Amino acid sequence: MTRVVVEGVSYRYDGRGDALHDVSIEAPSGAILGLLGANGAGKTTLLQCCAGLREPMRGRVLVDGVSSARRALIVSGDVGYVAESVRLPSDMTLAHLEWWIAPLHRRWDAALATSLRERFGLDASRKLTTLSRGEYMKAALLCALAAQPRVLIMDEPFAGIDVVTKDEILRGLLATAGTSGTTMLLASHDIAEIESVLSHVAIITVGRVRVSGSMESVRERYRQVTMVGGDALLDAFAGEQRWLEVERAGRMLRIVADGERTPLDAGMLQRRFAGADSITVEDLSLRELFSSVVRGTRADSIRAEAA
Amino acid sequence: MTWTRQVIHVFGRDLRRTWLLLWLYGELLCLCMARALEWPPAMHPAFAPVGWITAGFAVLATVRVVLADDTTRADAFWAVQPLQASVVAASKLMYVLSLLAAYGAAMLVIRSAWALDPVSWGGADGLYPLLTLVMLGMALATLTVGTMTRVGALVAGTLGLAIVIRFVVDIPPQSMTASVWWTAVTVLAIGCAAFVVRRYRMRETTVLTRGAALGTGVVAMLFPIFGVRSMPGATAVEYDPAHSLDSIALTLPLTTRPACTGGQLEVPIAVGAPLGWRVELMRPTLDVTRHDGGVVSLSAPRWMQLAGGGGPLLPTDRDRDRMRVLGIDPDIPLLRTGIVFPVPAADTDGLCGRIARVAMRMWVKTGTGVEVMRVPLRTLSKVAVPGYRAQIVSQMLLDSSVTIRVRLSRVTDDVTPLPSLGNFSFALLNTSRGEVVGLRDVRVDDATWTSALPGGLRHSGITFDLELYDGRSARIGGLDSWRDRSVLLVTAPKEAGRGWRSSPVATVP
Repeated sequence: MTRVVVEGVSYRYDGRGDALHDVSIEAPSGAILGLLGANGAGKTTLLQCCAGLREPMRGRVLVDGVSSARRALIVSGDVGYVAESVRLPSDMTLAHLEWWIAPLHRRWDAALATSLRERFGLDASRKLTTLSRGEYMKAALLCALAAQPRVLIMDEPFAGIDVVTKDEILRGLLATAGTSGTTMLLASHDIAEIESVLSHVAIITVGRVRVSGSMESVRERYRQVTMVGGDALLDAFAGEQRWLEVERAGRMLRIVADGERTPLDAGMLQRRFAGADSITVEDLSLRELFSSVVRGTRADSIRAEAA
Repeated sequence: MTWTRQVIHVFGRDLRRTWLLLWLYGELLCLCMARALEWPPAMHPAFAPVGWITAGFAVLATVRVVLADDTTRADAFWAVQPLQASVVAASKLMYVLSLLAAYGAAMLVIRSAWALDPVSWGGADGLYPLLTLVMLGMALATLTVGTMTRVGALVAGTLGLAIVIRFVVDIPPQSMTASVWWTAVTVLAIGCAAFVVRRYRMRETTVLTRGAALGTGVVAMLFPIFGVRSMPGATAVEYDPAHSLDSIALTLPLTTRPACTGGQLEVPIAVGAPLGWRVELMRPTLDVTRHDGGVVSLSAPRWMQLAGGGGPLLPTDRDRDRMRVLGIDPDIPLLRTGIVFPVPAADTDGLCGRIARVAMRMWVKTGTGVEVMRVPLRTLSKVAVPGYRAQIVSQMLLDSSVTIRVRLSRVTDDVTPLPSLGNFSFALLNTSRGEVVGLRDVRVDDATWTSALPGGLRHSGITFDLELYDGRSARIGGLDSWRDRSVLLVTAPKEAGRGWRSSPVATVP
């Protein structure tokens, strides 16, 4: 069981701003951590830093206390990396590819490879160029899973893949994680699909981590409050502090609050805002939380620019 | 898996991925060898560029393999596998070197058939600049991630080095064309390498990998230059028997030879590789005359073919016309190149003497390949009876023997008549050691002799043929150590079996 710790990682591309700024997250042993972020938020850069494919300007990534710098953990076979952008050798068949990479991995499990091939419905004799997008990703995942890494990093493995295939892949991932205890870092835009399998989540915007923790703690911490009432009451509630997100439509106000800063309890709110027609406090779905965080960050940056 | 096994594993995958290209490359190499060894003797001119095509395939296969493992992307497939960058780099270099080794093996096969003709295979090789380009590109790519300034410095440094070596260190004036050509190749290689660097940057490399790649690239870059340096004769301005023939071709001031006036003949002189690559250095117009003081006649250009190192260097149509005018058969079998310069009596040790020695190199084809024999013509006149001068008019190279047509001329009237050819001493004599080796079976048609010499050699002279049968390479090779001595010809009749008979038959006072 492997613990992944990202400590204060910063990265900057030549000629561009910070891609990552002081990013710190943690994935306990056996966790499936979902890394969420808008396009250009720095997810891929962070995952590549985790894999040692890029060297952070500052900070470090530790896997069970061992630095992943210089692809050390990939070379040792402890970290596997699957990404949409990783191009498999297109002139090979899947069988040929397995023949080539199997000896490179210390823990290659040929039986697991066969099992995954059957589960994914892949034909080993077909050239990789003839595979559909979904089959291509399945092949990539097969290669990564059969190598049995202690940490598997996946960057957008579901991009452009239909729902059924996503489901098959997710089941494959869950089955493998369940049996091998692999810690997984997963970046994806398909939040709704992956929410059910994630044990941990980190939301990153503009190179900074805004939300991170276990799914339970995040659900506990972030709540949305819907209040219906008069203008004065809504204005008072909206201006009470800087909420994560504030939306107002007529006599209804919806806020997303960070429970760590302001404990939110429906009874307490009803006592404070007794004139309100209704006050409801609800859990957020991961998708709603992600949207709120992204929108809130954008609003912050707009305010900062205006200031 | 150990590092070495990983290298071999990746190398094996690359071989498997490019088997078709490699197969074609092998086929082309065989074709090149066949062409160089003249199997069949006359290959269609359409095969002339086969050497370049072969080099092109080598480069294509190399580029294909090198680019197969992309290094411009941090998340290239090989980078997410348990492979060190040094493994990938080493396997690529191994692949390139294997192509070079295959080429070298082909060259060695050809060379082994040309015993005693140590034509270097670096300087006159068209493949090396091209493969150097690729290897240099790889080496530079490991060093110049996003640093075009560094590339510029490397270009300037390499170019400067090339210029210094080519134009200052060892460049005879006659090979200026070659110098310009090499410089152009160097510039082209550097330019292409810079292009490769921009498109193809190798990341995640260790210091060791970078150092190894740089070293290989530099060696590859310098290989042709060293090759040129080591190419016998490329650096020779004066004739030295130790040099191979091409050196002479490079350095002889052919057009300034005073003894040769009269008709003119244009003769291309080139350096090249046996696989067909060739650079013509000059095409001097030779003055041709047949007077006694110095006769220049054109024979088959076989020696030039070998001197040039390579591809068929056939006489042009104009050459052939002139050869006909001069009474020389332009279709002498197996003797396509050769210029025979006799020795003017007054210039035995001078320029024409050197030319004569060049001209008298002969290639004797034997069952094991092609042998080389040098016969300094200068000594022919020494060995000949005083008052007469021997000139070698032509050579006829056949499968098992070479026939040398010798013209024996009277230099002065005050000479002793020679009733028969038996008065001559056809011997191999080492004057420094006082040793004589071999004298066998000079075959002269008695009828010809009699009819041509009604009064001995008091008249104009006689032309007769010496047949030199094939001997073992070691023996013929032994002749090489006798060069620049007082030497005549030696024959070994087939019936004498293998080996030369060593019996002192004649000595020279």
